[in-house]
Amino acid sequence: MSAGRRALVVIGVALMSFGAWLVVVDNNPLQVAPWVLGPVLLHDALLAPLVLGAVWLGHRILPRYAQGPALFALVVGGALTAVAASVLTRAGARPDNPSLLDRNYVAGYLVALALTVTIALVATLLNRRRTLSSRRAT
Amino acid sequence: MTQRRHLSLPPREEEIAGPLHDERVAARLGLALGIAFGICFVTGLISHAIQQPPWWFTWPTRPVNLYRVTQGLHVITGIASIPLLLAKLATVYPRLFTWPPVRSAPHALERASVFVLVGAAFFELITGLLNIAHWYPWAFFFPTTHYAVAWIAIGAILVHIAIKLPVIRRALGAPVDEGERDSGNDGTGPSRRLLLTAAGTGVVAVVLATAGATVPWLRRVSVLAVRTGEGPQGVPVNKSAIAAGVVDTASDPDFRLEVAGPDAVITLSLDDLRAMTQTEASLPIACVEGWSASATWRGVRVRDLVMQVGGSPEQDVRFISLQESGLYGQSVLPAQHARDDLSLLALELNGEELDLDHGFPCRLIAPSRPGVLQTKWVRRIEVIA
Repeated sequence: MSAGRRALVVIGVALMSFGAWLVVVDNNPLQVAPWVLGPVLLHDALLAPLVLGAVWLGHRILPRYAQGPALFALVVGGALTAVAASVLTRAGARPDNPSLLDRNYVAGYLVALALTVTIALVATLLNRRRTLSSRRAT
Repeated sequence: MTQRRHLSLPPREEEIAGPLHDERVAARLGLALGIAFGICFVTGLISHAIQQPPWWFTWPTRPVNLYRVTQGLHVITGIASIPLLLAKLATVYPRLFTWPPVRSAPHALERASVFVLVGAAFFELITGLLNIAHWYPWAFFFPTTHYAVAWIAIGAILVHIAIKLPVIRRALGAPVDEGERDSGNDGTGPSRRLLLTAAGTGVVAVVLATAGATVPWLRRVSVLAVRTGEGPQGVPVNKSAIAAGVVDTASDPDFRLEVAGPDAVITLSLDDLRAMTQTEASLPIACVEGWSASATWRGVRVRDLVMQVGGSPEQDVRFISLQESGLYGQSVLPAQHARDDLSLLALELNGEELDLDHGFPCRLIAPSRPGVLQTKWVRRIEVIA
């Protein structure tokens, strides 16, 4: 490992130690720890296997021309879902402040998903036409 | 490091696993993620320093939208990191199950550093996202914890970059689609380029869906933004008069503002304030939660009040609210902001007397400051010696 990389490791470890020290002196580490460990464990044990399982299944059951668009819809739809999760239930809304969370998030989320699926379907049709015409050509 | 580059005779599912688990894709996603986290970290530090300034720190008063931009970027880059982090993890997920799990002491340290990195990154993105939606399912205090863990995340990123540098160099140097045609990909199936396009589109989608909270012309497309930009007198509210517990004291007709300086302590009624020279300023209210809205404010210059009690333009000024609960019942306006032409004790917003939720009878509004420091329902102003 070069001197530059070693220096980067030392700086990184120093910054991490500073952050860990701040957690200990300014916060209650026992309250923080579940929110640091929990999401990683949930992701590794649940979300990732589900997503990779869906990709594997998509590969088994979808025709090849639909696989790319399906992967696209999974990634974009997943991104929208992850962000929407914080507002969909309007858990943070307060009766005394109507200017907060003042949208119909379910409708907005569904429209965004529908747009994503439509793009994927159009791409699937274009892919299919290309596949069929290249087959006819050969 | 074993890479699945040769896809000529693997099981069929490998053709999809191929683009998902390739170092060229991982490195490009990692680069984007590193840039987003870097901007998010720096803008977060700026916001932290403005609110708890170390002795060496000053923050300019111009452009008036400066904090609006830095904090808007903080939240936008944080949200953009969500799809990037998830996609990045998907590309490296199988490596979680490398066998044997630990080969050597350095390998154990590397795995530990990745675990810390992912834990801290998830923590920052989840707590940040829930904070802007005012959803607090935890017991800890958000600002100090979000700040502390940010140092852990950025430190872990530096360690990760140092460890992976040779792989990053090799992967970024190689063309994305190198070798894919050989693997029988005729351009209709999923490819590495398609995966990168999908992740990029995911980033664009979540940014468009939320950035309207701070970018006015995106309001109509931002279907997941925590604010539409609407509110009393056309401006959103973060803390209402009810939540602050000031409804009675703020609407009391006998309200008097105290101004204390080196020469005198004076008390002013709302009519006294109205009789003083009024100044109009177009300034944004820019919340730490990343939403912002521009508005026209009218009221008395802070400078004029400071001079009435014998204060100088070199002195900081403290604003104390009727709000007694919570941490944000007062704020300190640094001297360079206090003497600024545009720093007002506002009485009016967009042509009307301040709404109770916007700080009636009077509130501070100064250029390039976090909304949380634009103290509402001001009852006392102190020139700090």
